Amino acid sequence: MKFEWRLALGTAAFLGVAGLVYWVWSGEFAGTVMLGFGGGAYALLFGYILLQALRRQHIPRVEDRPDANPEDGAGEIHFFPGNSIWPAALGLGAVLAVVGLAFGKWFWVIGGAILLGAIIGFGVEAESR
Amino acid sequence: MTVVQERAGRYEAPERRLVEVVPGPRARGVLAYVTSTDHKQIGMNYMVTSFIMFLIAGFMAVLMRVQLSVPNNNFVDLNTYNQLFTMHGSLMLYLFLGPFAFGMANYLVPLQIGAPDMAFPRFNAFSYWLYLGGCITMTSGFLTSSGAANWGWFAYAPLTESIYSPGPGADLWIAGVVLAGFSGIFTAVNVISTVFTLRAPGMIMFRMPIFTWNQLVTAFLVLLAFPVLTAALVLLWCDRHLGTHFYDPTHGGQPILYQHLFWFFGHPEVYILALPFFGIATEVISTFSRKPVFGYKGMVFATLSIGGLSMGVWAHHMYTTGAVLLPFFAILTLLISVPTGIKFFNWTGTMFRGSVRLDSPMLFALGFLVNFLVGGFTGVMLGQPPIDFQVHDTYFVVAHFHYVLLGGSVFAAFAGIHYWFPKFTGKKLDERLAKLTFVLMFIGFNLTFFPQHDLGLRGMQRRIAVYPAGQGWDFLNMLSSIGAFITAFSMLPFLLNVWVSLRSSKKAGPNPWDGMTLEWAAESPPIEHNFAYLPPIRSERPVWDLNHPDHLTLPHGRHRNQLVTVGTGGTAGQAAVRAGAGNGGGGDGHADGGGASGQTGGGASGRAGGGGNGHAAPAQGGEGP
Amino acid sequence: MKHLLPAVLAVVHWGSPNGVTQQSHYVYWLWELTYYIAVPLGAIVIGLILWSAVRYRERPGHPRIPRQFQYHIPLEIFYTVVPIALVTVVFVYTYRAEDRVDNVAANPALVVRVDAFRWGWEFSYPNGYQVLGSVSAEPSINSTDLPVLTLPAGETVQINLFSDDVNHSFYVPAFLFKRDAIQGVNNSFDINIDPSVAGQRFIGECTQFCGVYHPFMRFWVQVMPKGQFNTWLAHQHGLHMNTIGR
Ligand code: HEM
Ligand SMILES: [Cu+2]
Ligand SMILES: [Cu+2]
Repeated sequence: MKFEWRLALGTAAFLGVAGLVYWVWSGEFAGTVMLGFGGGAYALLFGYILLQALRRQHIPRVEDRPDANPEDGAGEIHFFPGNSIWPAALGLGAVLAVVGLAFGKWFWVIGGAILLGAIIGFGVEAESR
Repeated sequence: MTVVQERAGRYEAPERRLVEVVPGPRARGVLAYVTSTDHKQIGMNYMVTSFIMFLIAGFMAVLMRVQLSVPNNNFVDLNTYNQLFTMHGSLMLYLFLGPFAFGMANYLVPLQIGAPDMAFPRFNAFSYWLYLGGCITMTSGFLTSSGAANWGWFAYAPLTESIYSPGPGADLWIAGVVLAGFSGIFTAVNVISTVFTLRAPGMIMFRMPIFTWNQLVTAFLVLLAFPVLTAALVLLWCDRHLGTHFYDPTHGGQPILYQHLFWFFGHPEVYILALPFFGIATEVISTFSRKPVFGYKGMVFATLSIGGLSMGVWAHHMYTTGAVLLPFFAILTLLISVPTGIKFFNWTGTMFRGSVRLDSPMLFALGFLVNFLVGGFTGVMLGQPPIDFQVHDTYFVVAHFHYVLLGGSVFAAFAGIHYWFPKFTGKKLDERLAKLTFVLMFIGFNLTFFPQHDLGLRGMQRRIAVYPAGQGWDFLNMLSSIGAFITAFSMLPFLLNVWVSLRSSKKAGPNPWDGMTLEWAAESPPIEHNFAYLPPIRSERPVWDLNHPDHLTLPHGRHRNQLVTVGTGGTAGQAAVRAGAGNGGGGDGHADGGGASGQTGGGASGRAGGGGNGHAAPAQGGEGP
Repeated sequence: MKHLLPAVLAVVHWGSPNGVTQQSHYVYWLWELTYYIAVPLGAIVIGLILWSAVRYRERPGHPRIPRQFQYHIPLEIFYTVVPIALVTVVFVYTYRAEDRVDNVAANPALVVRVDAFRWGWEFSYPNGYQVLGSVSAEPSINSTDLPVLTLPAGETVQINLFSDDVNHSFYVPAFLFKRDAIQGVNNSFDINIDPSVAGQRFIGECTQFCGVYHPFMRFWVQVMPKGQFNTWLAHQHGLHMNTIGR
């Protein structure tokens, strides 16, 4: 995971330094805040990946070993769900709710209701995988 | 149906490595489309939907070019024209090019890194539905009584405040962009997680194909950019409906703030619309030159630095406001041309001394190189504030961004479509129709947009529905409109080609182009959860290593010692199925002749040359014919 | 050789646009510099691309596997360093040009206030004289009856630019210059028109999209010889109105 965290750290550092230089040189607020927050967001990502990497320091993942063969990765990879109606339902609810930006309350009510139902359905499905 | 997947112990074993744990009823027909969580289905959904958006937006472009073909024209009225260029630009950027790239990412990234699917399949499906909702929402603005949004794709406040632009068409535009934006964010989360956690054994980061790399960097940019856009638009919406004054100067708001927020999204966005397509071009050029990507690592770092720099140049779109720090943005902007230049030399170096097959994907890739170079140079000009003062918001800029977006990205997208069509569908596109498409598109495109540089230098401003005669603009505009018709016409052979090829019975096979990356080891189209077996991964082109064990990538400094072979050797078409020789070549110091673990026959033990030297290839190298 | 280079430099202009103000000549030189770098570089790169594609093309039916080389460190360093050097040169000249173009003199000979609004222009002179042109109900784009901004040649004129509503942009193609009019941003810039164009008239446009009549927001810049201008201005009073595009 060495490169993964370096990537996130590099991005965060670049944004941080750019934000600092920009602030000192221009004194303009909007850009400084955006660069700063961007840097902060990537610092979070960096921290998360680093924690993961530290936790498994002594057992490098097969995908990080240049000499690993496919069979070294045998076993469960990950859980992949089959067909599910909930993403579409969730989408419908979310889209209706956002269309409410144009047409107001009723869309929020209907969209919100569908969204709520879909979240519950999704949750139940995820529990009983 | 729930599936847990295992990796087979032996890739030469023909049996499937899928273990179905909880079989359930399978959805069919429309229901399969609606409920699918398969990255390939979702990727196709994205690509097809966005291509339809491309056709609609292209149709609007033709209407605009009709209006502009002669001075003082009355083909469409002023307000209609304004809606047309707004929706043309918005559809092309928010609903076609970006989502098309996301579709490609969905389909290809898991295949290229040997993963069974994206990391969060249901989340992935959800983001497609948001995107589809965005498409419907935004275009439905035309159906409202006051028409669609008519303020340009960047929606500058205060023109977008409700006193100047009332009506639901405008709000539908905001809703559409917000939806498309969320879909982009979710896709980016998915791409990053997939790349970070689902790579196949041996697929270290520096063995990922350039296309995957570029999609990864793109995802990083999406995560930075789209939240800012969403925030900017939500503030705009509050101004319009809740009586806030973020951008309203009459109550102490700041119009310039909107520009900062928008372009902080907007410039990374243009790289979001470019990097994936650089990746496509790279894959195509490498495959069709039968050579590894020249300077692979340099290219990865070039992509990373383009990504980084593009986060700090937003205000080069605001030079003429007189309110930004010119030197800061000028130097960073000019610096971007360095990694971009490196990429050009990588592409050329890949073709150099290669064996260049001029099939249709390669033609589109070459078209991309030529057009994008022009767009790149005009970009460097625009990066210089004094020159930008002159040509900003004129047709020079219109020409510039069409060279980058249409001449560059869309040409590369077509290269990708022609290249991966066999993988997506199992059928190859007809070469003659494909070449006709390319020729028409290339001529039409250049005829449309090259004259526009000159129009801009002659002072024609953008976003005008009418212009007076007698300013030296008439002939160039007519030329441009003729070109637009040719470009539009080039879609006919393409659509015909897709239709004919899908109906033909000829099978393409898993690897019709002698491709190099993992997706060509899967069937065409790939089976559910993608791979029945994987070849050993010892370089960034495992399938090539498998098919051409005698032509592994040369380690540094040993250029002269490899035989040039006439004939491709092996059985390029099906060789992926064979157990081949993997070994430690691949520009990676660690490889120790392919894991010494207990594989039987073939496999990675085939050639155990040590220490990354590859095998003992015959040392007398001939120059190529 | 000694005479060849200047001779070539004098003849080959690449069609670089040139303007009629002192400021615009810096822009012209920047174009020249850019062309001198971009045209040969572009020719080399496109040449290399097309040559590689044609020279090393594979004849259908005769597949061939070339040598699989991938890295050439010295070459890679070369094509990284050279662009950096070029970019540095371009940046230095850009910076200098930008300094001149943006320079605002401490005591200009004339200060004119320009107001942009939906849809038209207002030009206010120090003696209270104002020109106000706005778009008529059914404007015609071919009309030449536009508001006139009269300016002296050979003197430093400072323009203070304001917007009364949405964003606009003050653009005179012949000056190779534009500046946005944005509420909340105070914009001032100088122009110094060449005496050689005294008596001529140039078109001006709004380049920031501002609503339906955006294409009609045009105006004239009338250049007067210095002496004539002062006597002319002394005879102008009050508000002069005209309607754009009747
Ligand atoms: C046949 C192909 C195309 C033609 C003829 C065409 C033509 C045009 C025209 C006439 C305009 C309006 C210019 C103006 O009034 O200022 C325009 C604007 C634009 N086009 Fe295209 N276009 C084409 C393809 C594309 C593609 C493929 C993209 C992007 C992927 C694209 C992106 C844009 C954008 C972003 C704008 C700016 C809209 C705005 O001003 O807000 N165009 N195009
Ligand atoms: Cu930009
Ligand atoms: Cu205007």
